[in-house]
Amino acid sequence: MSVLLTSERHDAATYEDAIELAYELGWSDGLPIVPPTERRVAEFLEVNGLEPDTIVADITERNKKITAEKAAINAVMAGCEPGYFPVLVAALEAMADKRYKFNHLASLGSPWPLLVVNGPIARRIGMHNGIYTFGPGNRANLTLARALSLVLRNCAGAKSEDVQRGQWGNSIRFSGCIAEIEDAGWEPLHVQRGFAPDQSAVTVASTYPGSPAHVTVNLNGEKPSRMLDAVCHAITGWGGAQWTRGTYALLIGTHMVDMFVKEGWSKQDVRDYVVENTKATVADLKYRGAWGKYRGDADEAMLRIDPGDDQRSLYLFKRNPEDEYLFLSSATDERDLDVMVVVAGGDAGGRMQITIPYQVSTNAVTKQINERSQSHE
Amino acid sequence: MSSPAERIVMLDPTLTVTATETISPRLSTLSGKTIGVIWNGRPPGDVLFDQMFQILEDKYDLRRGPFIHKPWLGNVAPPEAFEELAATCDAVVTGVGD
Repeated sequence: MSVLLTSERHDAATYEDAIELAYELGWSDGLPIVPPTERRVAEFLEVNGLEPDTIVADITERNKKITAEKAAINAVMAGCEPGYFPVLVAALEAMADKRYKFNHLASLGSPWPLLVVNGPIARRIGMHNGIYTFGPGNRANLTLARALSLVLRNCAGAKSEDVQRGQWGNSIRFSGCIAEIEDAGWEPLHVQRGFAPDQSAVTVASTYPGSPAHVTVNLNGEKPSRMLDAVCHAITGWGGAQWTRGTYALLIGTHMVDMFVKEGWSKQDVRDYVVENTKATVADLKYRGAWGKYRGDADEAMLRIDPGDDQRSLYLFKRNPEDEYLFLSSATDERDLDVMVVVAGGDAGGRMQITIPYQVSTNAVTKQINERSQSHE
Repeated sequence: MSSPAERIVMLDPTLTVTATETISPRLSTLSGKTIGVIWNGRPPGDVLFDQMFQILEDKYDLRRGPFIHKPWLGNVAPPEAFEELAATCDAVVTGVGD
């Protein structure tokens, strides 16, 4: 394959000058970048059998078509190795999927996707999923997260000088990429979502800043459902005056998985328990100001806690007769209200983690990771 | 350390503006023009747009065009909305609430 790279050239006298020039040109996320030389970018494309002008993400909402060349340049800058690149390509495809709804990344809420990688590629490129999962400490995890952040910064306006006007920003742009532990006795996430065990896939699921967030659970011989009650409580309590609905991820360590497996719980059982039991009383929703928020007639009378309000509950992952009192309801055909269970984390410690989905308009999307070596086998 | 330095040539990581992204010609005045709106539905954007028009109407002899309320704020407005705006408006303002 002949690689004809068409991007504009910028030259510097030394390696150090190149790093400084990248800052001056606004390419960096704040950390030094690896200078994207033609030789290195061409290597990324050749190793993975991609033509430079292949469109890897057509983002209608931004009128941007991200080519393999631009993705590779940013992956080089982030510090990736060529073997990581198919993960980035698949993640971009997932984010350009209509069901992901790319536009939500411009929200004041600063959502950003967590990437969960499954299948053989995760092991082949040395991705991390165990102790101290989110690190820092692992090159593949961190440079892939950074590569996604850089390519969207440089090709799709994902920076505060452009369309991303979020209030707080989101630090998982640097660290939001992990692999799942697949040998803990539960079905891997990508298999649950329709792929074969020997396929590789990446799942993108948007989450607000401050998450994944801790949920402390009781490990002292309690039955598994007691652990999940703490999760249900944490999920329903998130978000202050906004009851946050959408697709959550629940990250569970292997020692906790063992406790569930011993009691006969599958991954799906865990998911179903959280979906069935995450609820809030009308009294609680009124107390926190989530009840009737944005309704034109929301006032003190509506928020007054009446007799019986502490006995009536609404379910976060289901449709409720009184959904009209919740912000946008969210339980429409455009949204998945769901929980993705992911096995990850150290094998000791009393905490699970949850991601908090963007409230309004996104869904988790999974795409197959296509590796050249596999496609020719 | 003594080997002659080789210049570092970097490839630009940014997406250059394509022909389809050129900016439309700006209007020289709003007087006599029809102005449409695309609102994403977040409250109270409708109130804000109404006040915007009240301010503009004090200064210019303009007409209010279609007021598009996107059916779902997370989606691009439907093609029919763009066709209607293109057929009837000289300019369109888009914005959000909150």
